[in-house]
Amino acid sequence: MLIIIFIFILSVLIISLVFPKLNSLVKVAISSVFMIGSLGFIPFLMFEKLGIPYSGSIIYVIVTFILIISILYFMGNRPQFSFKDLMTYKLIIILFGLLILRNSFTPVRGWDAYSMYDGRARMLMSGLKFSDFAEFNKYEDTNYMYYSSYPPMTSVVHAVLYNQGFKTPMWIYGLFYFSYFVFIYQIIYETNINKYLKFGLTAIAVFNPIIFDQVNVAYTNLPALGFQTAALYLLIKFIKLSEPRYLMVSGILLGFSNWTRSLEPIYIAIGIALSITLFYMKNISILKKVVYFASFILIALIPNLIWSNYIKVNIGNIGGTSQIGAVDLISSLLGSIYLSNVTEVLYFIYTTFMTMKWYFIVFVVSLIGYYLNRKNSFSNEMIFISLMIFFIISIMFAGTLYFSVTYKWWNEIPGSFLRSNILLMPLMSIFAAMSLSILNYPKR
Amino acid sequence: MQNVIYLITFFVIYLLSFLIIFKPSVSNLLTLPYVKFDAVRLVIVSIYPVMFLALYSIIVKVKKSLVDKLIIFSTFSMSAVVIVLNIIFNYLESINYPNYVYSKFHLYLPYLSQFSTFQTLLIFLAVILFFNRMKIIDSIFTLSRKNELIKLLVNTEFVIALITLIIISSFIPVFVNMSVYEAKMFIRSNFSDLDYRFRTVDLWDVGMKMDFVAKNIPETSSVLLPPQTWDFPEIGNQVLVRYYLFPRVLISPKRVDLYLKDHGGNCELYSLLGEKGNHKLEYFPEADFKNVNIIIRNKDGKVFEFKNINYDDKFRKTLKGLEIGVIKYNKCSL
Repeated sequence: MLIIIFIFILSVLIISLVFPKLNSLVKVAISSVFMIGSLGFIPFLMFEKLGIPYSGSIIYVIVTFILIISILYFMGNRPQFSFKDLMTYKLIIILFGLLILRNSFTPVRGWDAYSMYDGRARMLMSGLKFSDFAEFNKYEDTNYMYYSSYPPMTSVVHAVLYNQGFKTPMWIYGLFYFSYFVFIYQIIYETNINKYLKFGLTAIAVFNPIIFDQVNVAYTNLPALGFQTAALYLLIKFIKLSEPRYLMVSGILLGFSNWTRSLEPIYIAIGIALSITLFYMKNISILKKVVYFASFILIALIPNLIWSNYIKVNIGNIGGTSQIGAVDLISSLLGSIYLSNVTEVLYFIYTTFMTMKWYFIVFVVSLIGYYLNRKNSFSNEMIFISLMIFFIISIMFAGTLYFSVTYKWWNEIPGSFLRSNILLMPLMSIFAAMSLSILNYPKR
Repeated sequence: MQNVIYLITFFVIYLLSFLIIFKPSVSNLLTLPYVKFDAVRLVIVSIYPVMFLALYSIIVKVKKSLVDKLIIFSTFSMSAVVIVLNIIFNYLESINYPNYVYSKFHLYLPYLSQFSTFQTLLIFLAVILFFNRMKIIDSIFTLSRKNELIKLLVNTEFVIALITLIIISSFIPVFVNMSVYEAKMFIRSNFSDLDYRFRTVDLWDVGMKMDFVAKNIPETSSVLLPPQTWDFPEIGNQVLVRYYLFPRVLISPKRVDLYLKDHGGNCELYSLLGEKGNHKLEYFPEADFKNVNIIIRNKDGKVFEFKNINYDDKFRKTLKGLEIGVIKYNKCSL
């Protein structure tokens, strides 16, 4: 318990060294996701590559953090953190503190958490490696290679926390929800719109029951959303200020999101949207743009590469829901485009998204409102957000087409399909805030 | 004269809405194959803007006649009734089985929720309009007094604000249900005799069963599970059961021969004894075994232990009311 608090303080120190100018609440939120991500990443490498058990590897997290702090310090960075600034957000801190407190008295919940995420954590506790889990399927005729089908983030975090004497790791989901709230709140509150509207747009993105319900279960959707919105917040900062440190930390956090869930290719949407947005950014040279983009993508993809390599070396081709070759993908995508299938897929997406219809209406109304009253052209952030919405929807459509010809049960999972696309809701509300904000500025 | 028209409009709209809630079959008239055209929602969605506008023009009038006041009062009291009804029926649905409300009261809950959403929106609007007497709404949406209605309608911020209000008000019944459910779950998770490891609050029955099973099977042994079918969605699912029974080796029926071949007569073998999902007094395992030890727990909590008994049809007939059982084979074969 105390060690975790110590690591959290170190994490806050790192973030205050890297981003001294950010608001304290945001610093706390970034450090929360950064800490949990590191707890799920470093111990895994320590155990699988060097054989250091999860009970001991937490020391190496501390060592890594202290190393980062000293490097940053000797590079000339000085930390800045104001508690006075933090205390202006009393209400938020108290409310989410209560939520985290409640979650620390809640046992792990959710079918998938039992069978996958927390189940793997319990096995890791007994000293097994991820590659050992394949053994279990020897005497089973279903669930082939089930335990290898998701990356290890939350399982490792659970195992580390159990080793630190925590009865339940559920409080991290409260922390993820808190971070998610802070990022959306901050992005929307930095725009130039009426304060009641700011509240409304934040509330629809944050208090949606589909998202809020994820606090109660130990699924990976909320952690992935926390990492992705953190990466999104820093990317928007980068697009505004074109300082590379925002981009690099954003890459690390996006990498953590790939270390949590690899099924939804959100990082592809972010990558394409960023590459196009970089074209519109005028104040950095083309060489810098290329270097920035390449290092961002590399950092974000390192976890993917480590995990897919780990699977390939230790377990072999698992088939199923990962490890799809590009040629296979394109050929089955082309094979899936015939009228009845396309209409069926469209109908599936349409019925699933009826739950989100009001968000699409918010998006469309703000877009129409922008075009009717526009004085200025799209800002770079708006280009980025609208490209992301476009690419997420098109990747999701292509992915559903692919699944529709690969798996028979493709249309039996509307719930999990919806949960996979919850990032669309905050994106649409952010877009509305930004487009209304640009209407309020005088003509440039 | 205008007021009378408003009054009639409201009356008709309310009648229509209630009709819609109680008669979901109206939509079947317009249901085309493949394109599921939801006429009812369309009716609600298209009627309500008219209603809002009518109400808005009544409220912004400086001098209100008695009829105006009557309209405002009846609209909002009825809205309050609908919202409360929606919360109550949602609660009833959550504590009983799904579709309980429709089968009992012939009231279609999704439409009631839709309806209630609009009503909540109406109350939100009324609160803004009544208590701030147009001042706040002016400052929010920066309007001049002239042609405010038209300006309001083309003001994007106003439209977006309205939509956010609709969305937020649709969260309210869900949050009410959720907090009732979560309170139940919180009590379960913290005030129970069950070992913390088995407190899987949303699969409470499975946790109770597995607690019993784990107490009666040593950790070094192997367990034969039922097949993963609709009959045994929970205890037949290896990856789920492993959560409770790890590190015991779990075996599916189809792979039991492979297991026996691998271990060559040298193992401690157990099997789960469970009733099939259809409650037709059919059990797993289906085959007969001679000379086994069995321990069972019934749904009323009573535990029975049998030593060296034959597991056959005669025994299975005595199993009525079984919750879960464990069979211990005396040798490493079936």
